[in-house]
Amino acid sequence: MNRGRRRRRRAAVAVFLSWALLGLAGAGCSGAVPKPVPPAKERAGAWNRRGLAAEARGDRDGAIAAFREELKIDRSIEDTDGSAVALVNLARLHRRNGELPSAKERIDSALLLVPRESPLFPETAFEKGKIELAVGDLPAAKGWAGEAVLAEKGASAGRMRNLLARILFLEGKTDDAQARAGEALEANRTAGARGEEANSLRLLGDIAAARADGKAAERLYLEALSIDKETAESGKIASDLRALGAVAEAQGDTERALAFHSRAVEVSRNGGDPKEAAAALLEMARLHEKAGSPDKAKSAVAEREKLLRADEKK
Amino acid sequence: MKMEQDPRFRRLEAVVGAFVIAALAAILALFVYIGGENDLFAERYHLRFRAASGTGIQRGMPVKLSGLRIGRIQEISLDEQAKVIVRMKVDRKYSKWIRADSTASLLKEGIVGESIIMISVGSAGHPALANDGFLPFAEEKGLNDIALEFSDSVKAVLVEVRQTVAYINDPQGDVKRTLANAQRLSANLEETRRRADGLLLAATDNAGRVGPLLDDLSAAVDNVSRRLTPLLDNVNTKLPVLLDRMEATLSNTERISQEFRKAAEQAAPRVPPLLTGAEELVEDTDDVVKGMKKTWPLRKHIPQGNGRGIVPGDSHE
Repeated sequence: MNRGRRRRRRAAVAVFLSWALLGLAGAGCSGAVPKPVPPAKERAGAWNRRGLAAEARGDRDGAIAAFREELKIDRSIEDTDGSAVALVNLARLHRRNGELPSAKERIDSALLLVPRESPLFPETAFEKGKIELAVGDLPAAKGWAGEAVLAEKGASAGRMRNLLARILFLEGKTDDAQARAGEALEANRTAGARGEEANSLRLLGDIAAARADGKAAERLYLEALSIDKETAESGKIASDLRALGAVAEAQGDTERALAFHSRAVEVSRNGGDPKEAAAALLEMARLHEKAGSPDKAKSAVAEREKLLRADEKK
Repeated sequence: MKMEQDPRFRRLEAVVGAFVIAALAAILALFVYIGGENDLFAERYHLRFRAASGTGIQRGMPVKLSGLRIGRIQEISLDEQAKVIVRMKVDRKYSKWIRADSTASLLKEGIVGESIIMISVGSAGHPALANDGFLPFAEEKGLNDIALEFSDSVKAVLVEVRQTVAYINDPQGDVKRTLANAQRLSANLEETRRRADGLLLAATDNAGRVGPLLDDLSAAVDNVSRRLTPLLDNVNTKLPVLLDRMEATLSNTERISQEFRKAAEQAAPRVPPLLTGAEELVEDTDDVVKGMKKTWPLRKHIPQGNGRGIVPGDSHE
């Protein structure tokens, strides 16, 4: 009886092992072998990856050069999709560099290549909206942000809604802005987009602050700060701290406001953003003046000038 | 009582015996094959060379003749004068090409290749080296050494050129002073010319006053000539010294350029093989990486050639 059971167990183990082996072999072979890519497209793809890597490490000029190479190859083989990707990337980097005419030229070229049903359309419309916002054309920016919101059904929907909500807020439509920012927050939480979730919270904080709801604003900014610390975004941390400083000042707590601004100065200075640090120092000088400490105000102004001079020299 | 035997085990002993014999034969064949590959059965003899330094020389390092591996370094030791004695174990069948005028040298195969001892083929007129015979060791200059030598030579010229330029530029130096004097002299000459013009004009107007004017002119010319004489003396004394210095510098430069040409000629033949080696290495690495990219499970984690990415956007920027 015992022997029979052992034999059955052995047979079961043998069958299991055979299936496991078959499964492993199947997993190895079943994955479709990638289709061979033409060398020109491979080269363009390599330039794209180089550009992304350069931007990620902060080498914007290197990134722009790489995307230009990518665009050149794509245009040499009339690869419309590839060209559109390169153009959107170039437009984004030119905008971040403050080169708005170049950014506009690139994004307009991209829009000519990207039909509305293309998966690239939402990103292109979003970038167009960002560029119009940077130029100061709020109606155009709102139009393109709306297009992006309508077209995007995936994980970036929250980001598109955030942009639309920010534009509405800048237009003074706080109710609409709050509704859109709330939707964006939900979408970002669902998609697990932590950075954009913090953006939604910061925007809701801005709206609450504009409505003089200090408590809600502080709570929202602190939530945003916590996420920004988690994602380690220096610029956004400084922005949250300055917003918290403004809320504290509005509540009449100058000491606390000074403490937040002082933290913002440290974060921006060490994060390599002297202009933001200088702005926070100016706020500190104003607060010291208000608190009746002209010496401290002078010292903050002197520190600011030193910082700006050092930046100019660089 | 008769023992019952299972018919399946009837030839068991013969089968096991055959299996063991086959396994032993396979092991033996493997041993012979590996031994053959590693020249375990080849007849060997030893050769030695003496080097000033053992840097880059290691036990087991291949010894090559005309690019073929003919042996390995077996032992490295120091002699009484603290020179490095390197003993090589070499296949006997190559002994006919290793003669008294053969030399050993330490080379690197390609830029990142392994270091080897290269033995040059001896000429037929010389006797073959006996067991434990000594080969002369040729110290090859590396590219670094050549570059350093060149840099030292160029430094010397640059120092000389800098000294000469400083000498020329010195405001209190002879050249500058001579030039300043010459400038003053030319200004004086201009003034004299103007005065002479005036005199000539006056002469046409008033021929009677020509005499005193000519006296003036003569005095002026005398004055110029008095000032010109020491100046020219100064130029005469200093200029040859300056020219000598320049000549020395030029001859130095010429010597160094010849040295550099020699060094470049030495290094040049080594550069193309180095570049070819590097190119081959890069191509091989590229092939391996491409192969790996297509292999499961790596291919799932590597972006495809035409898969493009977009720089992450942010609504807050």
